[in-house]
Amino acid sequence: MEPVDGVQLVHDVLDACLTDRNGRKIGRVDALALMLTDGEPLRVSAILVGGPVRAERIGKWMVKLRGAVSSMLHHDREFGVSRVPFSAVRGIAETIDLDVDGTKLPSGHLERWLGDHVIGQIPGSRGEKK
Amino acid sequence: MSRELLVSHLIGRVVRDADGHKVGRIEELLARIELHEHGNDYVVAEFHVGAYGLLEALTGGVFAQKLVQRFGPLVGYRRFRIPWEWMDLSDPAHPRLNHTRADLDALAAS
Repeated sequence: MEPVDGVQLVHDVLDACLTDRNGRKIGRVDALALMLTDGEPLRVSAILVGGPVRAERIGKWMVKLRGAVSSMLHHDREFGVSRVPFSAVRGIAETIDLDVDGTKLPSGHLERWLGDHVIGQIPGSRGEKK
Repeated sequence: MSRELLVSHLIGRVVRDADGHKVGRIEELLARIELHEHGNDYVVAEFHVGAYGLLEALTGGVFAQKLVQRFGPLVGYRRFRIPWEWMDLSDPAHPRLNHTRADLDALAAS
């Protein structure tokens, strides 16, 4: 394997684990947006997490299923996508560290809802003692 | 004019040279940091394009591609490192080089 002198966007970034400024895991890189300007190199503009971009990675059937559920719930197509500017990246190593507050990202909405309404209702889930 | 595209929409696209000959498929994008007064940008400096030769028809899936890459030149696999200036992405679904395959071979040999 020849050495590389830069960041390999597919190998190093796509699907990498993301952590917010508090060190909390907030998901994985589902897609990377590039800005294409005539006569200039492509610039990495944003990390996309959740929503339709995650569904695309799973397969066409998931895109259709998600689209059907979204239209039933009157959500727009981009509902649940977190778009983090690439300028918020603080480091790329085993995880990608972002300078954002993970609790405010729309992609964590379902996870938070499940935590509050389903997992949180299971006796003992909040660490309480008998 | 600027527009946005996703990395996943470029990966796997067939790249053709200036004469219309097939070079290979985009496998990787190498980004480097560009320093500015107002911050840093990651810009794509190189496209890595893999050519599978006679095994092209068998390398539709990721597993088969990884297997062929592992055996490299033994099975006719080559990977070209193409500078961004050589890549014409005016139609991102059909990336095209503004150089010929001979230029690419010369670049790889240098």
